[in-house]
Amino acid sequence: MGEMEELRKEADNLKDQITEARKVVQDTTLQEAVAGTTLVGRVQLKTRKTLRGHLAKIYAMHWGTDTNCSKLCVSASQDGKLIVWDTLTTNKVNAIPLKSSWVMTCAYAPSGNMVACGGLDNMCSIYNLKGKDGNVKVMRELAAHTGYLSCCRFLNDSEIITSSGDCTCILWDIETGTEKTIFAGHLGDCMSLAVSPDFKMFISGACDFTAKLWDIREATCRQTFSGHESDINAIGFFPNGNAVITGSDDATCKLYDLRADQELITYQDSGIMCGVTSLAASLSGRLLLAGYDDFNVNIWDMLKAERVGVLAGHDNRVSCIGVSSDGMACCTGSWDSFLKIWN
Amino acid sequence: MARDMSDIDILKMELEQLKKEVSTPREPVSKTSKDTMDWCEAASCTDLLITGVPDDKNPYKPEKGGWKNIMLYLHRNTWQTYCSYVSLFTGLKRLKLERRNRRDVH
Repeated sequence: MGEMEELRKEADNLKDQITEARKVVQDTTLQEAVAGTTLVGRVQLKTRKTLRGHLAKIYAMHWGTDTNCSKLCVSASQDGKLIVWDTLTTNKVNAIPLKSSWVMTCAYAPSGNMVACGGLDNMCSIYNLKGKDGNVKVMRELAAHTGYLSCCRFLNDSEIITSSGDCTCILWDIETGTEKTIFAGHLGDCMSLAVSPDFKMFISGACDFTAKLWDIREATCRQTFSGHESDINAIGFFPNGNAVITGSDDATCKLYDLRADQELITYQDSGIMCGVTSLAASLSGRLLLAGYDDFNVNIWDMLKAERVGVLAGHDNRVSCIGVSSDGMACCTGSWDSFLKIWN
Repeated sequence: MARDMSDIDILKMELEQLKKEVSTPREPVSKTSKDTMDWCEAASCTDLLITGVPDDKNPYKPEKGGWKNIMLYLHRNTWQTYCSYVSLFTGLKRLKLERRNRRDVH
C-alpha cells in the first residue's frame, strides 16, 4: 500500500505542475479575445430531405468525402442494415445486410470504395462497395477488441482506426486484417474518435471524462484534456486541426486548444439538462451543431458560445450528426429511424 | 486493457503519461485564440450553413412547380392507406372464420 501512496502523491504532484504550466500561458480567455466580434445571425435550417428506410434506431451516420460521393452518406441501424444513401434523390444506393444487428458505428472511406461498421460483436467489418460483380461483400473482419466497437474511422483504403469499450483504440492494417498499433491509456470505455484533417493525429473521448490526443505514427498519447464531469460521447476536430470539440453526458460541449493545451470555452445553457450524443462543426468552424437526448440539435456560435439556432424535427433522440464535405448540408440521424438533411 | 490491469499498474501507466505531458510545449492563449478567431472569421464568408444557399443553387431544394412531388406523396400515402386497410380486412375475416370454426367444433 505504501508504494500506491507514493505513486499517487507523485501523480498528483505532476498534475499540479501541469495545471500551473497551463495557467502560465493563460494570459487571456477566448471570451475576451472575441469581445469585438459580432454574434452570427440566427441560423434557421430547414429539413430538405427525409431519408426513410430503416426499421429501427439509427445509431451512426457518416458522409462520403471524395468528390464522387460528396452527396452520399452511410447510416447504420439496429435493424441490421447499413444503407448508403444518395441524399439528393433519397435513393438507396446500397442496402447491406449485417451479420450482427447490434451495430453502433459506421464509416465511409475517403476514397468512397469501402464502408465499415461494428458494434456489440466487438469486430469491425469492412465492406467493399466496388466489387467486381457489383455485389457488396465483407472484405475483412477485424477482431481483436475485447469490448464493443464504439467508433471507427478510415485513414485510407488500407488503414482504419477503431475505438472500443475495452478502453483502447487500435490502428489496423486492412489488407492483412491485423493490428498495427494499440493505443492504451484511457481508464474508461472509449466512446468516440476523430481523425485530424492532416491524418497525422487522432483524438478519442472516453468514459473516464477525458479526451486524449494520439500521434498515429509515433503511437503515443501527446496530450490529455479533462474538465468534463461525465462520459464524453462525441468528439471532433476544429476544421483547422488546432482545436478539439467534445460533447458529454454532463450536457456541455467544450473547446480545447491543442497548442495552448487547455480548455478555451464551454458551451452550456441552464435550460439544457440532457446529455450531448453527437456533434459536428461547420466547414468554417464558426458553427457547432450538437445533438442532444431531448430530440433536438442546438446550433452554437463557437466563438461567442451562444445558441444561434435549433433543429427540431425528430421524434426521438438525435444519435448522430454530420456536415457534408462541401459544407452545403448537415445530416441528422435519430432513434426515430429517420435521417434528415438540413440546409 | 485498463480493465485487466491491477490498480498499481494503472497508476504506473498514468504516471508515465503525466511525466511525458509535463514537458508539452504550450503557446499563450492570446496567440492561439487569435489564430482560431482569424481563421474562423475568414472562412465564415464561404460557410454555406451561415450564408445560406440561394434556392436556385440549392441541389436539395425540390423542383419548382412540384407536381411530381405532390403526386408521389399522394401515391405513397394512398398506397400505404390501402395496404393497411387490406391487412385489417384480412385479419378481421380470419378472426371471424376462426370464431365460426370454434363454434362448429363445440
